[in-house]
Amino acid sequence: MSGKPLIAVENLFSVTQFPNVVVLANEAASGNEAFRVATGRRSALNFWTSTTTNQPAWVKAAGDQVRAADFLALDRGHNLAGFAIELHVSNDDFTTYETALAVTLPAATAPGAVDDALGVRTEEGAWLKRFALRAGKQWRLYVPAMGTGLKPQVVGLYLGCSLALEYFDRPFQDDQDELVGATVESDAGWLGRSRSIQRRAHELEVKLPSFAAYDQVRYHLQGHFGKGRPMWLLHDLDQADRAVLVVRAPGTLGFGFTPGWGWRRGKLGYVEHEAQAA
Amino acid sequence: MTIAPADLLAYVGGAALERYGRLWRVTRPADRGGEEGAPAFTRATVGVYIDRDGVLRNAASGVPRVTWLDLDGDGVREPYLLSEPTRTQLITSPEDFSAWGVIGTPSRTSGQADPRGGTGAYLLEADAVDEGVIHSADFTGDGEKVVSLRLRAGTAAVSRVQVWDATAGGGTDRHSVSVTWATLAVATIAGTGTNYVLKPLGGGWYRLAFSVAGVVADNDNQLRIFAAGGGATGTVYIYGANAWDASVPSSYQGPSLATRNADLISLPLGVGTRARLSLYWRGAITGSNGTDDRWLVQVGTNSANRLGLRAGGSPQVAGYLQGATSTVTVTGNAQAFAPETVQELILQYDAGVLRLYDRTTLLDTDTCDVLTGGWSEQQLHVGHADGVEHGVAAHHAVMLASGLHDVVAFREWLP
Repeated sequence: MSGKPLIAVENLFSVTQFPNVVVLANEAASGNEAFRVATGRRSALNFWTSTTTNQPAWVKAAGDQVRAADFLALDRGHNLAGFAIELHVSNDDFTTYETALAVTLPAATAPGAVDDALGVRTEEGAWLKRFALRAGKQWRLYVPAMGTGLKPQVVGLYLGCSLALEYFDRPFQDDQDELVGATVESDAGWLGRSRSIQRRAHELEVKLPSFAAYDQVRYHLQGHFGKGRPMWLLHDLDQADRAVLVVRAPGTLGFGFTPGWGWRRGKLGYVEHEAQAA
Repeated sequence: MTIAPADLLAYVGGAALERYGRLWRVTRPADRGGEEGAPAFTRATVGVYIDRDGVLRNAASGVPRVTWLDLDGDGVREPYLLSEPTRTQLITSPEDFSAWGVIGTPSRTSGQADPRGGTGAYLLEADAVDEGVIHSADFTGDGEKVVSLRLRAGTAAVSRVQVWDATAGGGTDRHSVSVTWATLAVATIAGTGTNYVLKPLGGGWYRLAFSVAGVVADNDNQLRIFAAGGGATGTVYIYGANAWDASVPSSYQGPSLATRNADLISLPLGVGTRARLSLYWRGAITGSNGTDDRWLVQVGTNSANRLGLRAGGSPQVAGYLQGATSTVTVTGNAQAFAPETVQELILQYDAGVLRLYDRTTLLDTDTCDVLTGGWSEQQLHVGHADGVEHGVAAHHAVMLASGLHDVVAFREWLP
């Protein structure tokens, strides 16, 4: 266990985060438009898909300026497990482009690191991968032909610069959850429950190792996460299969000066974003 | 002594890409970490850059170029923001070697894997010594000129490239350069000029570039490529030949004779008069407009109030502050600011004192005007000043305000 955490909240496909981005696909079925890859919704009914089976398909984000990325995630609900994908980056709208990533997604969940060659599949079926930084104005997820009768289905696509933190202050919980659902207690003390879900939630303490570190933390955590945007939280780079997609919990968020630490520190309260129903 | 994020007025270049995911960050009244003000960037034509995988790729007009270079020789490519002046390259067929003349009877086989990831390269084969291809370069104006070529090793142990003046004295070797493939050594065989570093590209390709002194423009000047040198035979792969009316090479231009327009980058800064300002630079000169002094970074919107760093001429490096009543230049002549080598410079303005550092070594100091209300930090320019562009590759171009008595404080901001 390296103990080093990673957060990834930036999404170059999100028109909420980057209003001048245009998201397009080679084709999109009615009700499954390209923009759905970056709405932050996790419903299995919210996805982009093409219309023609067994042919290459792509969805791209054309930005207003050159941006860099080193992290790609496909949220749970995609149908690409066991299939090949490529990530392309270009500065002339794909007349020329670099293949930043070309992998076949793992078909099953297994313990792994976010830097593993094939990335890592989380316990709930999302897929995450950190790669060597690339820069470009246009980015494209490209899915080669999947086979007879098949076409890609992408619920959530997250691409951007991740931020590796030095550590979370101990003690912390990396697998704590709460039970969410209606509970009724009878006069005999017996519990009756509606359908419930286990939602991961915690408050982590982040200590910054320098004054300069605050600048990036402010951008990622206060600038994006602080606005309520979904963020991939990896408590440990080497146990990325336990990653969780979180949003800001109610309450305050900030990084200031407190006794016992020379630089800024703050508390990062989160709850799992649209946790999977059993 | 350290510095705070608010002291960071501008952070530009490849390091900004690594740190912030974009090429520039300008601190202005906060958007709580949201999007920053957009810089002004223009380039009217397509430009070529070296991608992280070493492959040459195009950036459309209006798109800034991030070129990935290993200028410090550690084997790792780093991102640099490329800002170059307008250049017209003079080889009419830079990629079509079937259109070139021949010396002897070399064979030219097209369809070879090229450094763009395509198959536009040629295999040049010499069955007899001194067989090669030739192409005229129509230079304008006498003096030092520069050529470049992309090469990949074939069977020849040594390959040779030459600029030949077919007019002077019935034929004069202006500059011949050999590439020894086993050691990747570039050496001058004859003539005079500067040999630039053999720059690695992807797929086993290298960029060879050298300047040629004493070119007479009215003469018949020829770029000659010999598959094998040293009286031997063999093969070499060739692609992308360029020639320019300049002494320093530029990024690749092809597939035809063409003009690449200048990259112009200006960042809007907040307005204010500050007691202290510092400019930090890490990068390289990659081209010039022909003048000696090349501006790396400059702050200010007019010639009456500006602070800047320049390098590559005489003096080798200079910091410059033009205030309300006087102009002060602090210089360092011992620094070797050769083109395409990475350098770090710091220029500090500290309430009427100007200091120039090479990394942490103080080169020069002088008193200068105290910046007053007439001063405004309106614009930060990278690679150009006074309307003249200069070729630079910027890893860091950083502007900091306040509290910078100790240059070591910069280290906190460096990767």
